[in-house]
Amino acid sequence: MVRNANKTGLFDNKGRRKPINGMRVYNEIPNWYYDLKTPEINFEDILVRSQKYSGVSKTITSQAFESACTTLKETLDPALKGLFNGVHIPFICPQSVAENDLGTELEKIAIPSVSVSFKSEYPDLHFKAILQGSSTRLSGELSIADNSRYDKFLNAHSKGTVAGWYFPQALQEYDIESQRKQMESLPLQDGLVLSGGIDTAAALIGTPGLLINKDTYPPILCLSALKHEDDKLMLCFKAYGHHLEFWCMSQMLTSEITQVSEQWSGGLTLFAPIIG
Amino acid sequence: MKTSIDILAKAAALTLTEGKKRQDQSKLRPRVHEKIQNFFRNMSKGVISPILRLKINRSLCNFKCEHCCEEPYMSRDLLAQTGEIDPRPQMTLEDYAELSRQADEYGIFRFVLTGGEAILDKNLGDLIEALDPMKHLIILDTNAWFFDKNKAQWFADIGGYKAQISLDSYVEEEHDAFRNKPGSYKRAIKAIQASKDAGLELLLSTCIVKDRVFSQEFQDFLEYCEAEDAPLYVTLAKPVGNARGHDEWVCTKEDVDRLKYLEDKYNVFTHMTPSYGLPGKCITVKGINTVNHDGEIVPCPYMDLSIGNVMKIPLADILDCGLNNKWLGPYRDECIIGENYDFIKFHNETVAKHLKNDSPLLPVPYEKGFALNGSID
Repeated sequence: MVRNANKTGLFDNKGRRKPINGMRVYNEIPNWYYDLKTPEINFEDILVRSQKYSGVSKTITSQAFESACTTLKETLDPALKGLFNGVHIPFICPQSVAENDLGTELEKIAIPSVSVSFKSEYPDLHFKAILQGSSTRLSGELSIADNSRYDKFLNAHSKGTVAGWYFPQALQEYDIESQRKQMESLPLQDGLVLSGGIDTAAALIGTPGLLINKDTYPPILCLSALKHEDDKLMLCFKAYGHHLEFWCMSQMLTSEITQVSEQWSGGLTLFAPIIG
Repeated sequence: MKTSIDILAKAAALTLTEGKKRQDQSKLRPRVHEKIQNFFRNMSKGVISPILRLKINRSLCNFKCEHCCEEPYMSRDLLAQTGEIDPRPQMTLEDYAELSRQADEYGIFRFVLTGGEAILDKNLGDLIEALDPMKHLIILDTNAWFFDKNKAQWFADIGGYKAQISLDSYVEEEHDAFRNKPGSYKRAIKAIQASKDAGLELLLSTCIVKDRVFSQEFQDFLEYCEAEDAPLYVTLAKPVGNARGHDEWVCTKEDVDRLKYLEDKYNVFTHMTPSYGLPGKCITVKGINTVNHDGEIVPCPYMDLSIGNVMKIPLADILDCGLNNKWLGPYRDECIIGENYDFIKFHNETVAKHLKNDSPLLPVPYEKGFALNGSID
């Protein structure tokens, strides 16, 4: 496994991982045309939405939720603390319920819950989920991407409620493959994984207006810890105006090469189990 | 918590009407239908099938509109500026037939004929024949001045598919003033019925400047289009052509977001609206390319920078070059020539430098424009 000899300064002043050799990025230094605003963090509101729309246990208090997130932040490897220079969103998601298939859980539980949360907050806007390509469903089509460490998240998720932080712009402008590959050189921090479907959905359930920007276009939130059976496809949440959409779409720029986009952003997720 | 939402798959963006139209093409134009089906099957592999928008007949036009981006290409402007018309070789019918062949081979199925005012071209019928309306959907842009009942029927009879009629305000006086042509509003309204009577597909197109989408006039326009069952295609005013320097016309994200909101309420759309199962995004190269009368291909109707000349380089190579360009290929949501000031600056400075130092003729050749901003790999 490749390791950065110098662990300091892994992230820039916006919490984006500085590209190392071998990374395919749109710009070495982004100009942040696509940007998010850090929302005002209200653990109580996020918890209430997550309890209402994704079934997080009502026995969990906002104090416990906030405490779990604060502990994660305070105990983070100093080399990783730069992550908090960027947008960071607390999230909480319940224990998985008997769905052993990643695609099924996303299709039947996580995405519909995002939809209900978003539509409850913004009844005049739409939420759509769209699949491109020959596939007509996600069930049986998804697996964990190599290097993503996402198995650790799913393992914790299968055992109980999980809380933590979602960093949506940590890997902005990286191509999908580089989002995955850079994980090889991140310090082995407990609970730090490449963002996937369940955690990103949880963040959007708690903070449904994350991608609503009046002045600037938001990035597209790639779920790169998940890999589609058809490796030409990628998964993401994206804004369309103020609307919110989920897409399973092509990552091909041409038939030969994959996209490397200024707008596409991989996320990192920091999590820990939380006792209800 | 288990809830439910429909996951839209495959032909996700196809409305019932679109699906019906496609079914119709399987009988009327089997080759077009085959290409559409192939495109759907292969889009996830990175296959594209952009519209080719042909600026014909030296962009001759009978109007002189306030916001026109085409004026610098017209003989009247070149004559005034330089004393001569464009001396470059112009595409012939044989060149257009060859372009049609290459487009068909590539899987392209849509040609838009424009100018200026395409209908002024005395050879329009021959051109449509050369393009082959059985292999391609032929769409006509028109200001409707001459697009009366007879002309609409003629266009339909020679294989025309759709008329795109420009209407820049629902207020008659505003439209006529913008077009500098009294009576143009009335003719456009008549052309709508003429197109329907001829059995043509129809859409209205209108150009928006900043804040227009919030106006009562625009709201009334949308209601009118609903009543007429006519889709409204909206273009964003770009600070190019006659509008260069009119930064106050440039739409903001707020305008564009409002349009995206209205798309759910009315049959209104832009070039960035999700369609053909693709997400809403800038469609340079991927969704539309303009072919100038001298064969230069420009990756957007409102840009003046070329990605290659189809009379010298195969179409497929030019599109490949465009896709690999850093501004043009990669995914991005916004309209770069309409909203992204970094791109607008690059574009307008490059054009200004070319016009000052090199030539009065647009577009700027690839080597002196897009080649300078780098490629993906």
